[in-house]
Amino acid sequence: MTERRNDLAAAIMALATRNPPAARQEWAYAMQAEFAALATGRLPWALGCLATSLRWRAAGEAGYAAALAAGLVVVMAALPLVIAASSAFRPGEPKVVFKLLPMVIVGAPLLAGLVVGTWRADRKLLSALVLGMGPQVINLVVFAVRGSAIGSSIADALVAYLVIGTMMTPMSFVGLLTAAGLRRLRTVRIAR
Amino acid sequence: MPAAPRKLSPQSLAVLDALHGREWLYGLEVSAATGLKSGSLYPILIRLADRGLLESRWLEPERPGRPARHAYRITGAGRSALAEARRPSASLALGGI
Repeated sequence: MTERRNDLAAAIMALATRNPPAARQEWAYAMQAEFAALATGRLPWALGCLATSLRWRAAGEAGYAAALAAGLVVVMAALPLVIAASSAFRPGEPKVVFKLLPMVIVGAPLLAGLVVGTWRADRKLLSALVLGMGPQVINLVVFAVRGSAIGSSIADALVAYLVIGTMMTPMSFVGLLTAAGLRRLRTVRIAR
Repeated sequence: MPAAPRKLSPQSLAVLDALHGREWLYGLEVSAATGLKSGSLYPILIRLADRGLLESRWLEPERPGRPARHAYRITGAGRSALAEARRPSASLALGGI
């Protein structure tokens, strides 16, 4: 039983000191060195260190998440506005720009996923959450604006959510996974 | 006007108190002297080090095969902060970091 607790404590300690932020690396080593010197109470010590390291990570993730979400919302919210503006200025002509809409719906989240997955591949879960939620936020903003200006029907909202749910969100995840696959391929090639 | 230095929490003062008048102490020794667990101790040590109230260094292991250990010592600024906090008028204003 004690051996199993020690194994668990060692596993938790390894998790706590794995990839710390650069500014906290020395402190992670310090916690690890004290853990190695401990004869008893290893599990509570390891759990405390894990809590400390989670706080470091949370502080770093919060700024990253805010920047990523803001960038994503601004870039992708601009697309429907551009489409609406171009159609308003050419009312008599066929709405060519709407023909591009499927490409935008598929391409923009895919590209965003690829960029984020390549740029910050070490934060896959957070990137996936932000990318997954980004289109929902954009949809809400667009409908709030549209609804207050000309009114929008429930059918419009349902169609938009269907498009977002079936196309945009999965495409952002495809982009993330593709970036992860490309990174893995590059690592294997370098190792060879 | 320069910003007033942030007040030290009772836990931070306990850490400085444990280090006061001693040479280098390891994290485990500070923990034993203050009763602080690792989850509270290290954030406090980091903040105190960032504020220049304590200094740290790696000490060679006492037994071969063990890793070097991080040890801590109070600085002059730390001693001043502790003395300031111990003054009767300051004790009423203790907030938290």
